[in-house]
Formats: sequence, structure tokens, C-alpha cells
Amino acid sequence: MQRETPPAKDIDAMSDTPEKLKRPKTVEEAIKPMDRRSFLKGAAASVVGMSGLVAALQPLLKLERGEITLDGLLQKHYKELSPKRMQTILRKLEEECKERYGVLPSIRDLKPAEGIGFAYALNLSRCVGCRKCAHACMAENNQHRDTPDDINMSYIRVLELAKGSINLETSNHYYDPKEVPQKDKYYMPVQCHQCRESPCTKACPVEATWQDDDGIIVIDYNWCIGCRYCMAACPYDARRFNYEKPKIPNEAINPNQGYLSNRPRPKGVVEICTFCLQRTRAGKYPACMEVCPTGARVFGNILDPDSEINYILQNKRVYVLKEDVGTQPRFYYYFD
Amino acid sequence: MRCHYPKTLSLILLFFLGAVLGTSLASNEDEKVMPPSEVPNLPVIDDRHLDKMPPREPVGLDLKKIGWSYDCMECHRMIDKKWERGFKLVEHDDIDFQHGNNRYCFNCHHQENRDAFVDYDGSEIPSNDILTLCAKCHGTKNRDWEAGVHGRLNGYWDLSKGPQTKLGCIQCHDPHHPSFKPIKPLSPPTYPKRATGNPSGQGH
Amino acid sequence: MKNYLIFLYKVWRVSFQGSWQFYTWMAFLSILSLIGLNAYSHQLVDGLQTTGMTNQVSWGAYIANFTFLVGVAAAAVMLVIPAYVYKMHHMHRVVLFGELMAIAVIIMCLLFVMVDLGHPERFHHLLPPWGKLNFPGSILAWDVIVLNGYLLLNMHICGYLLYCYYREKKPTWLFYIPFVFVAIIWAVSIHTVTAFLYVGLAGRPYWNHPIVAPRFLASAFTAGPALLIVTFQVIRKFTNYWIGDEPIFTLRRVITIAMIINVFLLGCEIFAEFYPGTVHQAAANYLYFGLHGHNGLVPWIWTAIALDVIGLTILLTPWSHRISGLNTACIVCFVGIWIEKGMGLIIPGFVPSPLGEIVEYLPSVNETLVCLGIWSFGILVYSWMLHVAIPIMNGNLKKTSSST
Repeated sequence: MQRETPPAKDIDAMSDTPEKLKRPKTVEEAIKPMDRRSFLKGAAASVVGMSGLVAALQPLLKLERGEITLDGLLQKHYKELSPKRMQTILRKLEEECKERYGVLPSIRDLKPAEGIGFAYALNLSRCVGCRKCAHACMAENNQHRDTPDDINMSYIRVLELAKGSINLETSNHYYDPKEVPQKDKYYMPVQCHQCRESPCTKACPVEATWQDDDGIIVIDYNWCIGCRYCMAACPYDARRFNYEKPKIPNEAINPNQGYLSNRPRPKGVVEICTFCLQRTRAGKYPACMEVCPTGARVFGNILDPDSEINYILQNKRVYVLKEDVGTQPRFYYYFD
Repeated sequence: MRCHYPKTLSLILLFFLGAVLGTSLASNEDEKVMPPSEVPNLPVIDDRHLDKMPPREPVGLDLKKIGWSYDCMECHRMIDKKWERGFKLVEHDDIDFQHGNNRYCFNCHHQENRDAFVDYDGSEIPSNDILTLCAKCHGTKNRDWEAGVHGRLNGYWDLSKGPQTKLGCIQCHDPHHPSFKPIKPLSPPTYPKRATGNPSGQGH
Repeated sequence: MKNYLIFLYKVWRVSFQGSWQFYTWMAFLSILSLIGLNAYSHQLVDGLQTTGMTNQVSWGAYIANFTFLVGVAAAAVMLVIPAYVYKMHHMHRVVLFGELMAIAVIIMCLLFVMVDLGHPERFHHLLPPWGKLNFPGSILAWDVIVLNGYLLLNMHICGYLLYCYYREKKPTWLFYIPFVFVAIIWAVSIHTVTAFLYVGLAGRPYWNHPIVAPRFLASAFTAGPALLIVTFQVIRKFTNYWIGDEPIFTLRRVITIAMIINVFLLGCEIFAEFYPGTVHQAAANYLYFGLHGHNGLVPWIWTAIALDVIGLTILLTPWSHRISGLNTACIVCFVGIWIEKGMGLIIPGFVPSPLGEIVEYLPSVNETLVCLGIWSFGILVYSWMLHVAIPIMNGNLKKTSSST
């Protein structure tokens, strides 16, 4: 039931139109000086349209004051901020924290030091899966929580695995038995591996996340556009996104804060474990290590040949999670 | 007839010490951190939000460790030094003794001086030198501990900035029952509230 | 310059002239767009918690639609290649519709990306010198460049040609033919780069598959022309612009071949996922059969496969020589590929998570409304462009015509 084709001589796109039976009003007829009636009709339609638009945008009135500011929009990338400007920003952030959470923090911008490369090792033979690290992470890093016990935003996930294999696909994140360790299980905490070949920093379209000279991967929360490509790129599921404005009880705020790490985040940005750089760049151990009841965690400077971490690499059998992905993590699992 | 006096005494003393030490430990639980001199204006990092208590310290079992000069010989000088296999313990029956193949008290405790431990050659190891005692058998663990990779380190990894503490053997392990007792895990993450398909049985 | 302003004024006037069907249609789309805008305002205030996305499934319906639509936009070349490379004259009458569709669809793509951002107001961070575009490291940076480039190319080609038609002058070869050929390559690149967004992630074995890019193109060259065929039917029904059967049947051939390749590649993918039985088949297991009692995507993917098979069957039988059959095939293929590439490609990439966690995803109501709004807005833009372009192409709106 094909339609008949017009004589296919030289059909040009702008050539004549075959007659059709029904011929609507041509544009020539349509475009004519506007009369009073059509003007009124147009005006009425415009009013309806505009009020529809205004109504649709109504929720924007609830936008919190100070959430989108000219200052914020004009703020430069972290690496381009002058030290003086940075001080102003830090003081402002401290004020904001005080206003919102009632705690005046000390927010610092600690820089990586020369000759330091951080690395972490975790003894899978020792870990009992108690989740103290995951909770300490929450206490240290000011993540959002719905309830005081909520650790969904913790940078550490502790996996319960069946003995006999290291197949993450069979892992259980929600285990909650009366006591750990369970006989037929072992436990594997996973957090940011601070990869040397980091897929996340490579993915970021705006360089809002990068690897500092001491190996720590950081995020400029004032630069991140929230596209979450880094989350898709991470093979360790280490990144978290602030789907809402973080809710933190005032008394749970940790006042020792870093600009690139645990200061309270705005909504709509990604965050990760920074090996607690607000602590580690000040010489202290990360929070997760401080609380580990089995001493399964070892942290240190991999560039120091006498460091604990180098002892492990030299003397223990080390397992790199998902080594096949080529990420070259600064996080090692080991056994003894 | 054996005298029950020391046991009663020890209980009373333990009670008092527990009370005193409990309060003093609680106030001192945060280690004294020196603000490093090289970095000016570096505020002291307060770790009150982190539970850094050594796993065994609150239990208060190791009286020696917490500085109590309890004299074992007070009783033991009256008791026969010789020890026979199969002798039923009456006094120390609170000890749950499970130390693997290490089944004899005098593998560790000095037969004559109960305030000390015993070395391979029968010489004494002072009671505060737990490390040497444990190293008698646990050589590789001792090596790892010395290297700082067995047991927990707290405080500063960068010793130029502040002090570091290293937990000793018995701050984590009960010498009579060195393997860790199972503990209750802290609360788990939950299936995300916004996600569909919440499993009835948690943990896929 | 003055002439051009008059041209714009005429276009403006024509935009608001039309039959009652046109008014109803545009009003309907406007209302849906406003509903979407309203939903988006809610999202802007409350954050992306208004969506069904989670830390585990961090991309959802927005990126799924984006991915699908990039394909539709790329498929405009399936009109351009026959017209300009194979010099099929009958395609010249419709080629502009494909390019206009590319414009509308790219706008939709960009909107879908914008609504997915946690901080859309920081969009300028992508634009040097104010921003820092992580080029060439980030594939997303490539995507930003190729998508906007494709939009500009098509806007130039369409705008230039329409203005020439309006002035009743023959277009200067130099001003559009080179751009047309660049656009052909560019179209392939937009979809390839979008595929590489996923292929480049070694941590997600379901995506880390060389076949994803070719399959993207094959499915795109089915879905895009299918939409075009339906558009042509609408144009034939509601306007006086004449479109013969030849362009439609040329496109039918394109769709048939593309669909055969698509289904073939789907088979290749299924073989590679399931035959070796590695741990990496978990995502495919989840998609096709469910995993550990989670089977949220199973009905979707089998619907998609059923639609694909039905579409292909119609295309391969004489039924597709009839317009009614062809229309059915087009709609069936379009919907099938939309599901397959949306829910079927993006979501399983996140399930199970790299740490083996199974968190399922379905778009929330608010999220669905935003998607609906963007679709409506895209169709609104396309309808408007057709409404303006057709009188120009018909010769009813030209420079010499009396104005105001």
C-alpha cells in the first residue's frame, strides 16, 4: 500500500510541494497584522504561561539562605587560592559550622609534607569484624547520619566473607550476630585505597578530586559539581555522596577539621576517606587505627624504610584487593 | 589448714583499687599530647570521641600492670613450693586457663619467687617484664611487636610531633586465656532507605 | 543584519500561529514540562535525596535517559549519510528533520546531565578559563566537548540552511557541506565517547566490555531512525509538507540492518557473560535472572528483549512494507531499546556493587516527573522547530513574503 511517489526529477529540498487535497491556511495568511482580539488572546496565554512558570518554581523559595552565594560561585579551585584568601574562607567555614552546629571548630588546611607517602595495611588474620573502625570513622569525619547509630555514610565497610575464598560477591555487609568472629567467617574492612593509579581522579571532569603528593586523594567540596562519575569509577565502592544536607547532632561534631577532609560538607558533593588527613598530616594515626581492638591496622610512611608499613611489605604476605584492575592501592591486606 | 585471709584481703583491695583507678583512669584516658614545637599554633587534637582504651585495661585483672604492689609471696611463702600434677587449684579457681599446649603454671611463674616469672634456665624474669616472658615462646610475635606491627599503636606515627603508645601483650591478651573472646559487633549499616527491593532477610 | 532580525521576528510570529491541534499539543507539552520543572525545583532544594539513587546505585534514570538519547541524537546521521554520501535525492527532503531532531535531543541530553548534578550552579567549573576541564583525562570531559560540539554543528547547519531557504538562495557549498561531513563523524563520536564513559571503568566488569560501543551504535541506529519514521508520519498527517515513501523505506532498511546487528551483538554479549561462568557474570545474572532473591530488573529486560524480538520479526517480514506494520515495529523497537539501554545497561553496572552489595534501584516519583518534564520539553522544542521549519521548507515563509 505504498503511496505514489512524485516524479523524481530533480527533487530539491526546497522544491515545489505536491498538491494535497487538504490545504491548511498558509503562513502568508497566518501572519497578518495583529488585531485586538489576537493580541488579547496572546496576552491571556502569556499570563497563564508565566503564572504556570512561577508556580512551578515555587519550591525554590524554600532554598536555604546562603546555599548559593555569589562568593561561592566565584570561589576559585583549591589549587588557585592564595594563602590569604584561604584563611578568609577557613574562618568563614568555621563561622558557618558554629552557626549550624553550635560548635566552633578549628578548620585547617594541612599541606602534604616532603618525603612522606602514606600507606595502610590491614591484617586479615586479626580482624574480628567488630565495626569499631567504621563507627570511629563516623565520630571523626562528621558524616551525615539519620540516627546516632547510622553508619551508612561511614568510609569503612566491613565485609563478612565465608572462609575459603575472597569472593566479594558473596560478602555480607549487614551481618549482626550476637558475637563476632563467627566460626566459619572472616572479615574484611574496605575503605578508600588511595590508589596510585586512581580511576576516580581520572574520571572527574573538573579536577575537583586529585591525589596529593603524600598519596592522599582529596576532594575540594567547593569545586565538586556532584556528577558522581568518580563513584562509578571506584572499584572499591569507597566514595559517598551527600544526597541531602548532612545531618549531624551538635554533640557529635568533631571540631578538629580539615578543609579537604572532614569539615561539614554541603549537600550534593562526593566525599571519601582521606586517611583522616586532619590527623595524619598533623602526625597522628587515623581514627580507625586508634580504636582497633585487635591491632589489625598498621599505618605509616611508606617512604621511610624503617616504617612499620615497610616491615609488613618485607616480611608478610600481602594481598592487594582487585589488583587486576591496576589501581596500585596504598592500602594492603596481609596475613600472619 | 589454709588461710583464707589473703583472698578476702585481695577482694577488698581489689574493690578499692578498682574504684580509685576507675575514676583516675577515666580522667586520664586521654594521653597527654605535647603540642609540637616545630609547628606553631597547631591545636592539640582531642581524641575524646574515640574509644582508645586498651581492650583489657578496664577489666582490671592484671594488678601488677596497674601498679598494685601485691605480694604473691605473702601467701606462697607459707605454701609448699613443690607443685604436683593433678593438684587441684582452690585459690586461683577464677582462672580460666586455656593457653594451648602451655599447661603448667611454672612454665611462666617462678616456682620459688611467685612475684616473678621464670626464664628457660630457671632464672627470674621481673614481673614487669611481660614481654621477655611471652617472647620465650612467641618469638615471631615478639619480633612483629618490636617492629610495631603486632598489637596496636596509638598517638603519633610521626615521633617528631608527639608521643606514641604501644600496647603490651597483656593489655590485649589474658595470659591465661590469650585468644580473644568474641565480642558483640557494633551496629551494621542498613539497606539504603531510598532503594527498592529491601530484602526481608538482611544481608542479601 | 536587519534582514536576519526580520527573519527572527517572522519565526517568532509563526511560532504562535497554528491550528487548535497545535495549540493543544503545545499546551499539553508545556504543562508536562512545567510539572517536570516543579519536580526539579523540589530536587534543587532538597538535594538528590528526592531520587531513588543511593551510594551503591549512584546513577539512575537521568543518566540512563541521557545515554539512550545520545544515541537518538547520533542517529540523525542515518539521514545525512544517504543524503550526502550516497546522494539519494529523496533523502534531501527530510534530512533537515533529522538534524533538527538531533538539536532537540542533544538539548534533552544536556538537561538530563544537568539534573543529575549535585551542584548544577557550578556548571561553569567545566568551562575554562574559569573552570578546569579535566581534558583529556576524563571521558566525561570528552563527552561535554563532543555533545556541545554536535549541538553547535547541527544548529549551524540547520540555521544556515533554513535561512537560505527563507531567502530563496541556494546555500553556499562551503558554508555547510564541510560541516555536514564533520557532523557525520561527530555523530559517531558522541555515541562512542558516551559508551567509553562506561567502557573505561575497569572496576565495573559489566561495562568494561569492548562490545558496548558498537552495540550502542547499533541500537542507536535503530532507535533514532525509528523515531524519525514516526515523526515523518506525524508530519505527513498534520502538515502540508510532502514526504514520500522512499525516505521512510530507506530508513526501514537502516533500522532492519541495525536491529539485526544489535540483536546479534546482544547474543555475543550474553555468550561472553554466561558461558565462561566467571564471577563477573553477577551483574548479568542480576539483570536476566535476579541475584540472591533480588530481581527488580528481570521483568524490564525480558520486556525489552521481547520487544526487540517482536520488532525485528516485523521488520524481517513483509508486514513492515506496510506503513502500519512499520509504525508498530518502530514504536516497539524504540521502547525496547529505551528499556534495554536505560534500565538494562546503566543499573546493572551498579548491581552488585564492587563490594558485592546488592542494592536495587527504581526511579522515585519526583525523579520520574523530572524525566517526564525533560522528555516533554524536548518534544516541545522539536515540535516548535518543525512548526517553524516546515513553512520555510515549503516556501510559505520567505523573505519576499509580506510581513506584519
